[in-house]
Amino acid sequence: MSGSRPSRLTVAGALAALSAVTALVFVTIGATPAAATAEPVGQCTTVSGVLVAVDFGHWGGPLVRGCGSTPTTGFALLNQGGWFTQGTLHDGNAFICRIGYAGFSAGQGYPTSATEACVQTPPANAYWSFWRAGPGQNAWSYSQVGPASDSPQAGTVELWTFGATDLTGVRGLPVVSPDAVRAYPPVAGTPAPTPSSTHPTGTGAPVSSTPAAATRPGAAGASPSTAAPGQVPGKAPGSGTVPAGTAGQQSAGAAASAARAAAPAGVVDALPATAAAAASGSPLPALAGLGLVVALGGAAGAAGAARRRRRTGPS
Amino acid sequence: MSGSRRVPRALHPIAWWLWAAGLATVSIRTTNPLLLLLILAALAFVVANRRTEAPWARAFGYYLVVALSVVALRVLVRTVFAGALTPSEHILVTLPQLPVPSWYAGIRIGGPISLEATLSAAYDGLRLACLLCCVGAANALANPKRALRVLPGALYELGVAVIVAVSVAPQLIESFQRVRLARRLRADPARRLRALRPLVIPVVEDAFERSLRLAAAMDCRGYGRAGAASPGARRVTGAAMVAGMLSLCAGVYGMWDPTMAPALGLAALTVGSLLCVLALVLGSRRVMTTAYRPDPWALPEWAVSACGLGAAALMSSAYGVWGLNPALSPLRWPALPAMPVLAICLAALAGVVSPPPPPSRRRAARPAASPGRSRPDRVSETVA
Amino acid sequence: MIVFDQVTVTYDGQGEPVLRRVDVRVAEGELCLVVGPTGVGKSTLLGAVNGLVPHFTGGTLSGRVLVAGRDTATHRPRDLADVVGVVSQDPASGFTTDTVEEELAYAMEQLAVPAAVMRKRVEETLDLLSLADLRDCPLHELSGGQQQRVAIGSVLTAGPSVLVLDEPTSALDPTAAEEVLAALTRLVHDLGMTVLLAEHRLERVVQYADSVLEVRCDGTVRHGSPQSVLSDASVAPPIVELGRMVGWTPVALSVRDARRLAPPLRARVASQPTEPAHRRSAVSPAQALRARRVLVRYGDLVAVNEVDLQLHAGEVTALMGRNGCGKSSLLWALQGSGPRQGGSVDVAGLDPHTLSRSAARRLVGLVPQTPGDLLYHDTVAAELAEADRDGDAPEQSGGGSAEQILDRLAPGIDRGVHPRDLSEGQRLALALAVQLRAAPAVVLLDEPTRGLDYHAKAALGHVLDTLAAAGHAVLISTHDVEFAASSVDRVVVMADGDVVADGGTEQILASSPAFAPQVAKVLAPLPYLTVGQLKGQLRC
Repeated sequence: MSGSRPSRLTVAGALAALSAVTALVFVTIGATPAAATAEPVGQCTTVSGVLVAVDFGHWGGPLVRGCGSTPTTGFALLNQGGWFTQGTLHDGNAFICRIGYAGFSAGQGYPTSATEACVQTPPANAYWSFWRAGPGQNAWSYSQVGPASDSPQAGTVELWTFGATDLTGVRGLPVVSPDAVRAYPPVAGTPAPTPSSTHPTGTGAPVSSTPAAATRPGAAGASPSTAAPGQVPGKAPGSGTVPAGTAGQQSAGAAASAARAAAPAGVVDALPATAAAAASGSPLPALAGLGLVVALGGAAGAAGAARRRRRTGPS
Repeated sequence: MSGSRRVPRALHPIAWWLWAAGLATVSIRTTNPLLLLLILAALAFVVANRRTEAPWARAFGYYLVVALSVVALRVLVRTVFAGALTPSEHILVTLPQLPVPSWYAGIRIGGPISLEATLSAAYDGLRLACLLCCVGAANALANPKRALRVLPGALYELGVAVIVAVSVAPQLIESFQRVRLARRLRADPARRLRALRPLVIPVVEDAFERSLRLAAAMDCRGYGRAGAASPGARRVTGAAMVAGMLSLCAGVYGMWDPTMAPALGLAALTVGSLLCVLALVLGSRRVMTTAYRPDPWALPEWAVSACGLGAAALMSSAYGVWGLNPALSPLRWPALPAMPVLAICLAALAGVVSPPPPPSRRRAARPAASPGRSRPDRVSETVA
Repeated sequence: MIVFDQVTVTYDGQGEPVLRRVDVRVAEGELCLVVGPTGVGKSTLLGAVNGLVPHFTGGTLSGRVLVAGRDTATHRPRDLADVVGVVSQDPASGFTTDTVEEELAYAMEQLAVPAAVMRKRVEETLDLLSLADLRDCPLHELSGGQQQRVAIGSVLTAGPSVLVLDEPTSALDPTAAEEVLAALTRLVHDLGMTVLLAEHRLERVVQYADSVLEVRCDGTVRHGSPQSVLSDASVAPPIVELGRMVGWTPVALSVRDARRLAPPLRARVASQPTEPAHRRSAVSPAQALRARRVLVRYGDLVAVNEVDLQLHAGEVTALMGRNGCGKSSLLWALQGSGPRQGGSVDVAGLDPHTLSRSAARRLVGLVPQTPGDLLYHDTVAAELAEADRDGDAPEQSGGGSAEQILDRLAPGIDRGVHPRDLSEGQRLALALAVQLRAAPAVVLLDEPTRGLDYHAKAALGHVLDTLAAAGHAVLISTHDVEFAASSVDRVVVMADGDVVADGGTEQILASSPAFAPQVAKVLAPLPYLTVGQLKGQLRC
C-alpha cells in the first residue's frame, strides 16, 4: 500500500528529469545555426557557398547577387553583408515584403513604402517570389518553404523576383536562368531573357551562358580567398562594383522582354557591406502622443467617477 | 438653439453608428500605436460622458477586455511561433526552442523573442482592438432595439426576430441561474457530464414555453397583420433581395481584390445596390406599422455624425502621410502626424457636442435570480 | 358582445372534447367571471374568444364564436386585436419592449395607428391605470402588480371592447391584487368594457362580477347571475359556502352583504366555545429547527434582517407577507443552499449551510416556487427512480420509496406522463415526493398555493396534515389567507425583512384587517376563521 506510492513518485520524477534533459540537449543542438557570413561573390562555387540573387528588373534595376557560406538559410542570406529585408506587420518577418541592399540605390528597399506599406500581406500580383535551383540544376523550382525554414546545400542558387508569379502560367517566372546567375564573372553578353515560348519549368532555358559558367573557373579559383570583404577581387574585368549604368550594354536583352516583366538590367555583384546604423528618431512626438492619450483617458475616468458619485450619492 | 442642445435626450441610434463607423474608418487606415491609443481614449471619453444607465450601456467595458485579449493573443502567438529574426533586432528574451519534424518544417516553436516582433504583433492587434471597440462604443451609446426599429419595412420581421433574440439572452441567463439554484436542492451530481442534463433541460423547456407565450401575446396584439401583397409579389421581393445581396458580396470582393479589374467590382456593386433597393421598396409596401415617438433627426444628430464622418474624411485626405505606418526595422520612435490627430480630436468632440444622456431612476435591485424573484411556473395556458 | 353558438372544442389526439355545446351570450359592459376546477377548460374558453383556439393552439372548433360581430373562424387573433385584448397570468413573458411607455404603444404600432393618436392614447392609459410615474421604468424592474397593470394597459391602448384575463392575480399578493382588480372595475364601470375573467381565488372577485360562467367537468358551461350559479357550483369561495351552509338565499357574495345577513348567525354561535380552525395533532415541544439572527443581503439590499425563528416537530407554520419582504430568501437561507451572511441555523445540532448538498437535504427539504425547476426527466417514473437513487435505502429512511410517497400525496398520477404535462397540484406533489424521499425533519414549501383551486388546496392541506402527523416540522410561505386559516397552526408575518408577528393562527389572522379570512370578517368580533369551524357548531 504505501510501497506503491513512493515508487510512483519516483517514476514521475524520473520522467520529468529525463524530459528536461532531453529538452536541454535538443535546445543546445537545435539552437541558433552556426553563424553564416556573407562572402564576396567569387567565393561561391558549385561546391561551396550559396548564391542569392534579387531581380530588381521590375523597377528597371539590375540583378544583384550575393553569396554566403553554408550552413545558412534563405532568410539569413538576405540579412547579411548589407542586405536587409522587411516583413509585414500582419505576418511577421517570415513573409518578405521589401528587399534592399546597402550598396544599391542608396540602400532603398523595394517595393518602396509609397507603393507597398507592408502592413497586410501583399497581393498575389505584386510580391516577392522565391525560387531555387539545386547544385548542378539549371531549372528553377518554386520553393515550397519560406526563406526562414530553408536550408540550402552548398552550390544552390536562390532567386527572388517580383511580380505576379503564377506557377502554371507564364507571368512572373524568373527571366534569368540559374546558370546565368552562377556565371562568374558575369557574362558580358548579358543574360538574355528566356523567350515567352519557354516551357514553364524553364528546362529549355537557352541562355547563352558560357559553358565555363557551369563550373567555377578553376583558374579563377586562385582568387585571393583571403580577399577582405569590401575588396574587389580584381581578376575579372567588369566584375565587382559595376554600377547599374553598364546596363546599357544589356539593353538589347531588356528590349526583348518588353512583352513581359522587365528583365534585370545587368548583373551587379553585392559585396558584403555594412549598413549604416539608422537613427532611432526623437521620442518627443511619442511622449506628446502619450500625453494626449492620458489626458483624454483621464477625462473619461473623471466622467465615470462623477457618474458613480451621482449614482450612489443623494439618490 | 444652444439651449435645446443641452436638453438631455437620447440621440437617434443611426447618428452614433455613423460616428462609430467614421472612427472605425480612421482606425483601419493606420497602425501607429499612438494614434490607435488616442482612438481608444476618444471612444472611452465619449462613452463615459454620454452613455445611459441601462444594462446594455455597460457593454463597453467588456468590449475593452475582449479587445485587449485580442492584442495579448496576437503577441503570444507571434512570440511563441517565432519567425525569422534579422540581426538588427533587439532580443528581449530567449525561449527554449522545440524541435519540429522536418515534414512540418514551416513553423518554428520557441526561440528568441525580439522587441520588433512583439511590437509588430501588438500594432496589428491594436488596430483590430480599435475596430472592436468602435462597435462596442456604438452598442453602448445607441439602444440596440431602437437601432433595429429604423430598418426599412421590408426587413421589419428580421428586426423583430433580432430584438426577440436579444431579449432572450438575459431571460435564458435568469432561467439558468434559477435552475442552478434549484439543483442545489437535489443530491450531489454523480459525474460532470450527467450534471449538465438537469441544468439544460429545464432551461430549454422554459425557453420553449416562454417563446410560445411571447408568440401568442404578440399575435393577440396584432403583430403580423399583412398588408396588400400577393404571394407572387412576395416571391419576387425575396428573389430580388437574395440576388441583390449576392451581387453586393461579389462587388465588395471585386473592389478589394487587387487582382481583379475594379470595373467588374463596381458594376457588381451598382447592380446589387439597385436590386436591394428595389426589393426593399417592394417589400415595404406590404408591412404597415407606424412608429411611436420615432427618434428625431435634428441638429445634435447632424453634429455627431459630422464629427465621425469628418474624422474619416480628414483621415482619407491624409493618405500617404508619413507616420501612419511606423516602420519597425529599423526600430524608431513612432511619429505623431498632425492631420490624423486632428481627425481623432474631431471625433472626440462628439462627446461634448451631443446632448447629455437622459437621467434614469436608480433603485436598489435584487439580483435577477435570487430566491423570491422566480416566475410562476405554468403549464401551457392555452391548453387548460 | 360575445356569442358562443353551440361551440365544441376538441384538441388533437384527445378523444373527448374539452368544451361541449357551449351556448353563451355575454352582454356588453359585463364583468363575467369564469369559474371551474383546474384543467377543466377555462383557458380554452377564454382562448376561443379571440381566436387563439384554434388558430394558435390547434384543435377543432365546431360552432361559431362571434365577437363584436366578427367571426373567429375567418378572423385570426391579430385581426381581432382592435376588438379583444388578452392578458395572461405571466405578463413578463409577453413583453416585447424595454420600457412601460413603449410597451403601451406596441399594440397601436402594429395596428398602424397615426402617431398623434398613439401619443394621446398612451397618456390616457397611463392615467387610467395609475402608471404615470413609471413611464420610463424598465419592465424587468417593476413589481408583479405593476407588471400586470402594464400588461392590461398594453392591450388597452388598442381600444378593444372586450378584455380577456386568464388568472391575472394568481401571482400577486393581496395588495397588488386589489390594485389590479380596482383598475379592472374602473374599466368596466367607466369605459363600459366587457371583461371576461378567470380566477381561482374567487373570494377576491366574486363581489364585482355581473355574471358567472361555470365550466363543469364534462365540458358543459352554465351562464347565469352569480347568486344562481354559485349557489350550487362545484367551486365556491368561503363566503358562498357559508351562505350555502346557513341557508341564505340568495347567497351573499360580498362581506358587506354577508354582514347584513349575519346577525342571527352570530347570535346563534356566540355563546358556544369555538373549536380551533385547524386540529393540531400532537405537537411536541421539541424544536426541529432554530434560527438565530439570520441575515441575508444582496449588496446593499437587506432581504432578511436578523430574524429569529423556531419550528417545532409536528407543527405547520405559515410565513406570510407581501411580495419582496424576504420570505423566499429566508426559506433558502434556512435550507442552507441560499446565501446567508450572518446568524445561525440549527437543525438537530447541525448547520445545513456547512453540510454537503445530500446531507443538507436530509435535514431540511425545500420545494421551490417553481417546482418544475427540480424536474428534468421525461416521465414521472424516471423522476421517481432518480429520487430513489438520490436518497438512502427505503428501510433506512423509513419513509418508503418515492413511488409510495407520491401515492400518499396525490394518488392516480399516470407514471408515463411528462412532468410538464401534469397539473399544478400534481407537479407540486411530485416535487414534494422527490424532496420527501430524503426524509428531512423540516419541510419548507415556497408559495405552493399559486394556481391551485379550492380542491387542490384542500388536498394540499391534507398532505400537510399527514406530514405533521408523521413528525415533520412544516413551514410554508403563502399569500392565501383562506388556506392559512384552514391548514396551519401558526402564522409568522414578515415585512421588509423583519418578523412583525408570530403566533397562533386565530390570534394573528383574526386580529389583522388585511389578513382576515372572509368568515372572520363576516362574523367579527367572534373568533371564527373557516366554514369548517362553523360546521361543527351548527351541527348540534
